[in-house]
Amino acid sequence: MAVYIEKSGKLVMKVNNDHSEVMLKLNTYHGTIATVSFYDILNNEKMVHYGGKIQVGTGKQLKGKTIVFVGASGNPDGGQIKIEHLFLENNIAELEYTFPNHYTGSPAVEPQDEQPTYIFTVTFI
Amino acid sequence: MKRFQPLFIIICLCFGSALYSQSFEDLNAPSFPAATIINSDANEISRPKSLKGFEAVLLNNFVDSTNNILVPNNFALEFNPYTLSKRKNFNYEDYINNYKGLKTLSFSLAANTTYKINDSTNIEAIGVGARMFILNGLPASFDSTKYQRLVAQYKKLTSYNSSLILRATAFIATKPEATIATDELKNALKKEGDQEELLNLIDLIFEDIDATINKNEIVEVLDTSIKTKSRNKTLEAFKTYLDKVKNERYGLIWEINGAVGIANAATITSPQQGIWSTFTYRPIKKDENGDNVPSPFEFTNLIRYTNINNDFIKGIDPYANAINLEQNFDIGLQTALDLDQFSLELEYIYRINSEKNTDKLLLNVGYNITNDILVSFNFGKDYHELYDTSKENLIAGLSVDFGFGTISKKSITDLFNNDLN
Repeated sequence: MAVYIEKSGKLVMKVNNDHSEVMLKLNTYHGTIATVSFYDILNNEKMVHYGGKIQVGTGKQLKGKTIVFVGASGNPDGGQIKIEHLFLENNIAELEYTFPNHYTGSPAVEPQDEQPTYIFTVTFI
Repeated sequence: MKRFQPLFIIICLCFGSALYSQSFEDLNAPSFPAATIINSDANEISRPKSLKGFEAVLLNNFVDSTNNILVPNNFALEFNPYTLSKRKNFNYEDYINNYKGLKTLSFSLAANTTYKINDSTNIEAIGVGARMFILNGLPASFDSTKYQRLVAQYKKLTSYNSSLILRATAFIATKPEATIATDELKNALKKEGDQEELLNLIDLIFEDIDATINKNEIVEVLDTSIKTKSRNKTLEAFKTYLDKVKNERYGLIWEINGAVGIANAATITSPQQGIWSTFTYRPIKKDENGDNVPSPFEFTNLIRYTNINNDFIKGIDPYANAINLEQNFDIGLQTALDLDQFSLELEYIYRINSEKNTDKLLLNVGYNITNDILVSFNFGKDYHELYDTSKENLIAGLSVDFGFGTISKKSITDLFNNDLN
């Protein structure tokens, strides 16, 4: 199966406060197991597992930057894959991206793909 | 036998309830009650895991090309609402200790165009059933341990997959050339502080990759290699043990099932209904390593109610003689002991019928004198037929079987039970 690459420039998050923490919260549904990895602004590799939350950076660090996120997933129970990425600023979700529901990239998601890997970018302004 | 019947009933009631049957006569729980109620023998059961899949299965089977509703032949569908539910951030280890009650509730649907009224009359019928485990024991500890390891391993491999694709993506972004040397890519994926397991995985996924690789293909080639060399195998093992943890459980197990048949002849009505309850005790014991393993002993108690709508059947076939089956309330027990050389299986069902009570008894005892010689004693008595005494069965036999290789005690008792039925 292919790696699903979301359209670049699709996901933009407006950061309201330079001092606020921007977090990524990862939720999955229907038995999906997933992990998302990314490099933060200092080029440290970070990773969040489903059900977890991790700091992406501060508002000041992120403004004007684009970060690549890579997700790997699977559903041993055979159910549908559903992974919700919530980008929070001061614990308020400012951007929500759910794979594959919001996916518009290429190639199209194969419904029978049991372990999709996907890439998306978020631009912070 | 008559004087022992009350004793059997008391024993059964003390141990709870249980209902069994792939046909209505056996002391076996219907794993698919919707099919049992209409005597369907579908080879494949659809188990949709999403609402879209559920909708697609129904549309594909119950609606024809001109959008008319039809009844498919030998169709079977089962769905578990819990599997279809949201299950946010589901913890797979919950299946070990908490897999019972509503989580196990499943609904089944079966359809058959050859529901048999008599030898020459078949009609279309649909069966609707439900099944739930109120008590569901626990998996054997060696299965639980293996399962927990697989859950952890699969999560770890998923995180490695994500990490390596991220590293590859970052590496590609620094390379202007169209073709990349595989060794350079491999070294770039290894980072200081990586766990040995991850480093070994990187070596493994590069084993079959060519010396150079097109930059545009790197991500896909790596992702495919990670899955084929590690994640797929772990996923399959995970699924196998997930199935074991859900279905091979020990201790106290109380299952309730129910099903209704719906048939369309002149009018739509229900020709048959059934409710089953089985209470099973499958003990576990400690083996020489201290692990919990299944004990050779098993006890099952059955309570079953079945009803056949004779008015409906006689409306189609006035000569049908179904009164013997009209309303049955069965109480039964089964106990089995399977040791290395000795096996014993006892099954007794007492049937309270609206016309006349009857019972059924099976006893199979086997002893392997050597691997090649089995001595077995079998005794069986079937239900008393009200109107056709020629159908009564009473069989007893003592046999010595010689064979090459180990003789299966089960194969001998199965042969005997088939004869009786």
